[in-house]
Amino acid sequence: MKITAKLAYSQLKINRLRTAGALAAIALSTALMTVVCSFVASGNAMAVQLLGADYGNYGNAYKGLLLLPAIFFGLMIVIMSVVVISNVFRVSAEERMAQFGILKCVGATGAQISSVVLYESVFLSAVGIPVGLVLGLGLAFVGIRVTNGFLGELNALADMMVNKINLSVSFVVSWQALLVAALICFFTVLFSAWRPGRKAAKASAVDSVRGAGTITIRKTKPGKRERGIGQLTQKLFGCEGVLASKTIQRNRRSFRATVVALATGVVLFVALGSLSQQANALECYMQPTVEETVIADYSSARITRTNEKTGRVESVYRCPLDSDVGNTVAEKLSAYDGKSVYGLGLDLETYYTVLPAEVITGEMQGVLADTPQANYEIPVEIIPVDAYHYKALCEKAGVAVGSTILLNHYRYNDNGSEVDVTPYLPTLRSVTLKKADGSEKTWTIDGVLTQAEMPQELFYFNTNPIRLVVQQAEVRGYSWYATPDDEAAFIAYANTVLAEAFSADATTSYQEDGFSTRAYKTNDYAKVMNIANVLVLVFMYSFVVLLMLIGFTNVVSTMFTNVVMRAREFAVLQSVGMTQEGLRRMLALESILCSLKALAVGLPVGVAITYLINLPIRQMFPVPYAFPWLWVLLCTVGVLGITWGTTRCATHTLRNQNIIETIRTQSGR
Amino acid sequence: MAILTVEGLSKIYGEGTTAVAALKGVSFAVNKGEFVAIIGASGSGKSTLMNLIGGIDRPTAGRVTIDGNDIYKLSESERAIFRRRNVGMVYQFYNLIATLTAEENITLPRLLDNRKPDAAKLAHILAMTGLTERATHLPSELSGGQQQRVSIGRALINDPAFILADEPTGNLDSKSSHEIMDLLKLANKRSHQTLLVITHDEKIALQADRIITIGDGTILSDEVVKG
Ligand SMILES: Nc1ncnc2c1ncn2[C@@H]1O[C@H](COP(=O)(O)OP(=O)(O)OP(=O)(O)O)[C@@H](O)[C@H]1O
Ligand SMILES: [Mg+2]
Repeated sequence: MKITAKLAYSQLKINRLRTAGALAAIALSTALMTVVCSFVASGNAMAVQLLGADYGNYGNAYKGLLLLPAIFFGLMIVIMSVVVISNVFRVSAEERMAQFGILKCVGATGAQISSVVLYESVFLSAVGIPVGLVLGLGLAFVGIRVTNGFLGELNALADMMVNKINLSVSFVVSWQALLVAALICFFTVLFSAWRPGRKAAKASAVDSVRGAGTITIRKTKPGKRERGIGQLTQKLFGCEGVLASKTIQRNRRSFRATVVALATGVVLFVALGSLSQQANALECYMQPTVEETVIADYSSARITRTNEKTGRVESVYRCPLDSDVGNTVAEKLSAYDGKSVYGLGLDLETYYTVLPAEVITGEMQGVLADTPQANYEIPVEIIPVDAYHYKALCEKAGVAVGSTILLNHYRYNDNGSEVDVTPYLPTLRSVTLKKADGSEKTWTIDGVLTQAEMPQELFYFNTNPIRLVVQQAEVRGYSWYATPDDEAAFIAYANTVLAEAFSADATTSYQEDGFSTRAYKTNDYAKVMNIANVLVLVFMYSFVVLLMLIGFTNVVSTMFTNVVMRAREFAVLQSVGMTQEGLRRMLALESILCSLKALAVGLPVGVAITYLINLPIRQMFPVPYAFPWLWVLLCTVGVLGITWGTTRCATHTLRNQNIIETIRTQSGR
Repeated sequence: MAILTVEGLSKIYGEGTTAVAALKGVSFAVNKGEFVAIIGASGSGKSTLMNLIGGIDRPTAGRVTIDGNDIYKLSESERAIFRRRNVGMVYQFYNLIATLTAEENITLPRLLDNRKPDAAKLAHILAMTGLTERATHLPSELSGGQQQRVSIGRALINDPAFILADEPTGNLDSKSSHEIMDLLKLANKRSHQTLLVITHDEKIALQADRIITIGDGTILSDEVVKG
């Protein structure tokens, strides 16, 4: 073996703890990278199976969907690894500056000295990367099993999907993926060793021959602020506190990686915790509010185009539905077990109207526009309700059957909170419905229903500001709400009724037919949301936990090295009368100071990120910002626990140390 | 013939008000095979001079020429290789690599050259330094005197034209000091290697051919001891 390689090897052998930590970090990074690459390979295999080798029409979009997250996660892994692994090399190189100086005296060139550090990285990679690849394949295997579990549940809900699907990911061992993962990690490790290596090459021969290879500590003049803090520490924690804060200040660079690792963990956990909190809130909001348990629906395909005459954008329905047909279907579905089915059609896009400010409440004017206007252009929603329930509505509004009823209620999301307003004044007696082709007709409003009078079926998402219930209309979609005793049997029955009514060829797709029908349980959508939600969170949490394990190797090795390497300093402190208890206090304080630093950086950033995540969400949904108290608390406890625990373990190894022995053996170095 | 010439060598540490002039224009020449002792008060600049001659520091001004090579005209790595092959250095604190055995420490300059250590040569050096029994021991398993002999072995392994020793006996008792000095003198007499020794010990200085006295960064006297 070359002498430089041998020196690297013996260094690895001597500092077992750090070697183990570095190996763990490298293996974990490689494992994570392998999982990411394997998922890309498996996802690719699935996409090829579903869409064909060239990914079909939307090839680039799908590729982006597969590669962008992979690149994002890959980058996170690389950054974390570089921070952690380069710290290992930096500390290990700094400790041996004296040795490098001696090598220089004997005639080693700078290149030879940096190759000592590079050899270290090569040796560590040679062991860590293969272990990581195997570990990663195992993790990917488990991950894909878990994914398939979720996808299986999703496939079972396929009733509600337009096309029957059968999603599953197969575990693919792709040598390309393994090679990519191994190469990325190898270069990450090499890069991490490169800078410390260059620094080692600049080791001063003169410094190392001057003394017995003592490590020189840069003197820093304390500023006013530091002196103030020093006095405060002295008062609060006594002499041990001052020593602890001095150590942290002096070894700032060693602790920096630890602080970065811990702070990253805090940021990720707080952000993720808040994300899951918001996802839950969103899920709650998405929970259907109707009491009916099954929904059957019809929906026409639609094209949007610009009308040549008026220049307005218009929607054209391929197969619009006459509400009389919806009515018939409602009757047929009601015949199943005699319970009435609530049928309602929906046309959101055909009509708009222009209303003068006089008929609109002040509150609603504020919703419609930022500044008051004389006239407001408002999209109109036409809702034909099945005959039975339409009659009931007319009775409630006190008007004759055949009337047009205004639903005088508008619900909107005001930056995260749901607000109900009464939009129109009683002076609104008629509405002129305009179409994009320029035609228009005026409808009188015969009756009005207030929010309190409206049935629950009419409170669905995304309504237009003006909503008219009518007896008959041509609409794009129609839904039938039912509460059967046997849901599955009813769904089957509904499907036959729908097939009869609309004679769709079940195998052809939405686009060719021009319409689609389906029957599904009301909470199926919520279930899909929930599955997707849990799947994403499970993966994010696993990723963050594994990423944190990489960081954790650094915390452990820094904390241990901090204690073990200073055995001599401790022995000296003990020889001048510091008690074991005082020593432990000092170390505990060091770990707490280190944690506080990490928290001081991590918590504000994490909380800021949670706020940023919420910003776009609350633009769209009534999910207000909630301060992630729980996560802030958990992270604080976690970080303090981790550093304190590791320091405690490390101190334990010092307990039976003999003062004289330590001073004697360590001074000869 | 001069193997070493030092011309106008100055070294200033630090800058501004805290600047320390450790050497102030020192010039002398040493002939091949000479044994020169350098003495002087503590802090007078002896180690600074020696580090500059060994090429591990950089002078503020002046030249050091060894065997016709102006060593500070060489690049950093050329100087390292030059040192590896032509200069053997011995220090007060033995400066061995803690993770290498005695044998490996001795052969280090050759290993750095990617040359196989010549077995006969190594055996000879081990025998000469009395370390045959201790060849596979780590520095931490050796006494101070033994460690110093290892570092002398390391200085001699490449048959350098030059041996520089900075207080080689500073940490040793008088018996070990004798052994170390005998070793160095042996190399000087038998292989005609030029020997420069810095010492505080008058008895050692008196064994030299020539004594250079340094004071406050300048040469105070330069006298030949024996004719
Ligand atoms: N790295 C340095 N930075 C600043 N000043 C230095 C440095 N190295 C040496 N000096 C100063 O240069 C002067 C000469 O130092 P040098 O080590 O050469 O003395 P010396 O003659 O070897 O002393 P001793 O006999 O005690 O070893 C001293 O005043 C010392 O303080
Ligand atoms: Mg000196």
